[in-house]
Amino acid sequence: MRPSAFLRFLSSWWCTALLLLALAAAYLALSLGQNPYPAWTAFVFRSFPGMTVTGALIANLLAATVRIGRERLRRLPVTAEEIRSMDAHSEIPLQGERAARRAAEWLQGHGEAQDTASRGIRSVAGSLSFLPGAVVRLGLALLLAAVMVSVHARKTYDTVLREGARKEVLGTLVGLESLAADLPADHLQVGDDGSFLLENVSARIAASGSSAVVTPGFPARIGGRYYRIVHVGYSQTLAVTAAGTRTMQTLDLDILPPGRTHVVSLPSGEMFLTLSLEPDRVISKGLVTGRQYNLRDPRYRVVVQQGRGGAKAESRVLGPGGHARIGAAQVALGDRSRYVRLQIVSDPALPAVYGGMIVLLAGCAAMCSRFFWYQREFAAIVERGVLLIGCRDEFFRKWGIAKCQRWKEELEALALE
Amino acid sequence: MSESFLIALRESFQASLLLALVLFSPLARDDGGFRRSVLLGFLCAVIAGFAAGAVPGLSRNLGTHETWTFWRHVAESSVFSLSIALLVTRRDPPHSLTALGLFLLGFLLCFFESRGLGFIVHDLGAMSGRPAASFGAAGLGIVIGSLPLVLLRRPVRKLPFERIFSTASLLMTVGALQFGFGGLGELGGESVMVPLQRGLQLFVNEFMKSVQSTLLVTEHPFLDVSLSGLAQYLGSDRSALTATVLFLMAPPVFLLIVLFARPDPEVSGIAGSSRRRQNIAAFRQDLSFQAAPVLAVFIVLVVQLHAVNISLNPLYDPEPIPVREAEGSDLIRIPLAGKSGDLSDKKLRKYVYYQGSKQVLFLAVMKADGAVGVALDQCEICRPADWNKDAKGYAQKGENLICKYCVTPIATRTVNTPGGCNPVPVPFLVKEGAILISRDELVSAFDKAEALERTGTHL
Repeated sequence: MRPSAFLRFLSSWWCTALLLLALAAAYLALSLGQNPYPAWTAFVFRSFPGMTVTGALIANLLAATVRIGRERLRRLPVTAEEIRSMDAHSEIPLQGERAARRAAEWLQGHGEAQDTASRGIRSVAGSLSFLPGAVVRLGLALLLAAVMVSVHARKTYDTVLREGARKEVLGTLVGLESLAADLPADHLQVGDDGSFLLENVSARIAASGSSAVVTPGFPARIGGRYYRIVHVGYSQTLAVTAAGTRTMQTLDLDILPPGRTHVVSLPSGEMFLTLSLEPDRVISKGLVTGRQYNLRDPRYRVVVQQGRGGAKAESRVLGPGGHARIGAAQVALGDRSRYVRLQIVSDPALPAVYGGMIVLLAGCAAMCSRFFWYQREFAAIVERGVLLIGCRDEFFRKWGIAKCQRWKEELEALALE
Repeated sequence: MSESFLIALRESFQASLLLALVLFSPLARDDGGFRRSVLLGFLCAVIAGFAAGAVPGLSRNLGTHETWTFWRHVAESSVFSLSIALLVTRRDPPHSLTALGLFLLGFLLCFFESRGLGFIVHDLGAMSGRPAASFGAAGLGIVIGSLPLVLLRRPVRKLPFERIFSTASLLMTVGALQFGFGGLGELGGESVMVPLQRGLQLFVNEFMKSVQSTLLVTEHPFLDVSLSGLAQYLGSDRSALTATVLFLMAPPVFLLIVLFARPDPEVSGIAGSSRRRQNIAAFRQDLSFQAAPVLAVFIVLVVQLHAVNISLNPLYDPEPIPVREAEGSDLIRIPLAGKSGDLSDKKLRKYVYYQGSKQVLFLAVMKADGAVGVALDQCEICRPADWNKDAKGYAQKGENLICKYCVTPIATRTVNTPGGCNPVPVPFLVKEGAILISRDELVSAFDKAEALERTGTHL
């Protein structure tokens, strides 16, 4: 295949269709197995054949954009052959010089004459209407390329930080300076798993000599890494004395939303205890039971269980600073604080991923304009005493042809006068 | 033997109809070579498909029923969607490529159905101990089913197929009719719409999750994450339904656009006004004829969509499927995935067990956590009057079951919890991919529920 033929094929819609079909066929084939979507993304972005197809698709999108742009912006001289290849064309015999002059005046009044050489005129409207499609294609190409880089270059770490604590993560000292969360003092939970949504969670994280506010939403960039909160909970110090052994530890409790239970294994063998949030009030009305929790200053139900079967020894409700003998164990709770689990991501392609996504969405939104923004072309040339006119519309050709017919009738009337 | 006969008759008739459409289409009617390609493909499909299903060695080694169903759906969808490619392509393909395409089309008209027919006829013969009679009855069904095509070919040939069908609309119609006929899967309630929508739902759901993961905005059970509401909506079953409708309606809508975008005929050069009017009338009549397949396909697809209860506001109330205990056992066995569908789609299933004059209606549904709930199709409270018996029991809407009488929503996760408006639980076990229900316990639960003093409604 010659280079020009290869480039023509690479920039064609046939190539796009073939590549998309290849990706669809791969998904179909993988659908026969378990978890087709992860297998498909692994194929597309990690396997050699998949990466080849994706790379070819990116090249195709870019080449198609260049081809379309060149075609639209290129200005060819008006020729009779070209007019005859248009959607609609007509030949109008001109009856003498006067008729020709009138026709020329009429033509000058219908659109901007952009090519008056060789006795022809051409008027093109909407020649830049390819831009929304170009933006979509460039956005998609950028997104695909960025995702491909991201898949291979992204490194993700998870770490837990308590309020005021500092920790070295990947050679960087990361500290949680402050933590804010709208923990309600009267959260009412109806049913076993009522709706619990914790809003306005944010943490000020210090790392690499600077600090930034990190939320569970879009990641914050500090020192070249991206930080995001992926979990929030209570940290609680706990001392347990059982079988003559005293154990003291700080727990990062996973007991939100209310109703969840955190299991703590003790080094003393078969004994373990569970902690869950204790409601302040239980409200029953008919068949419905609601539990009200103070999540700003919660109390825990501590259950000591013995053996693998989980034989319940005893349970007590304790708050921070409280202590009690529960079954065979002496349990004492210390101070409480809060913790966040941070996702720390190193990804050189993330800005490009966001950029590609924004460009793609902007292009998709701009595509709405294509309903009324499209290329309309009108050309005319005088050849051997005959006026040849032609019209070409990118979309809605039916209307374009009808308009051309009207113009033809007007010109005929001028030419025959 | 009547089952073999009836199934073969039905399949043969449907295949004949599709074959007639293709053979009498303008493409094949006027070209003997093209006709031969279609017929050759069709015959190859009959022989190869029947052999693949009826010869035990082949049917064992050529994949499971699910695999065959999957490829049948892919083939039907491809034929249906190929119409768009033909509409986009402006150039006529070479003669040899057209002949090959028609051979493949003829092949796909009945290959999967032939395989299914062969399998079922062999199965019925083996069960009855009279395989020859079963195959004979099926052969008779095939012959009688194809008689209308043979006998009516001359009058049918005179119909104005050339005015009605283009190649694109022919493919679209064949594909839509294949969806509608459903092949032998129709006997088991299978429809391409179900896997299509489920597949799209899985895809859009996973796609949205991967987009969130790539943008580092993954969801959290209780933290407020940016764009999570939008992502949930875009990854929901409603989006999957939209994608299904778009996929199904794209070929007919595109065809309609192409048809009606054609310019009116140029009549200014025609001298007589009557001749001008005739030209315009002929053009409009042609449009009407060519829009007829689009209308037919719309009807088939809309009926299909509703048949699988994916209308926009579904109150899903499936017909009960009769069940009985296994021979020599008192256990009723309901596979979690089988001919009546896959419970993992979280759709409500209803079953009926007959014992004497008793008609025990019960339901099964898979909950969000993957556990199964089995209960009678009645509660302890509501007793609709005799004239309103249809209001007895439950239907499904979204995440809930709805009492059809008092319209109380019941969270699906509470099925098997007794009391109140909940359906009366039935003891069961899940073992080896099937729900096992003791016949005696089912009937006992039914008897106790029927004996309850119910005053009508709790309202």
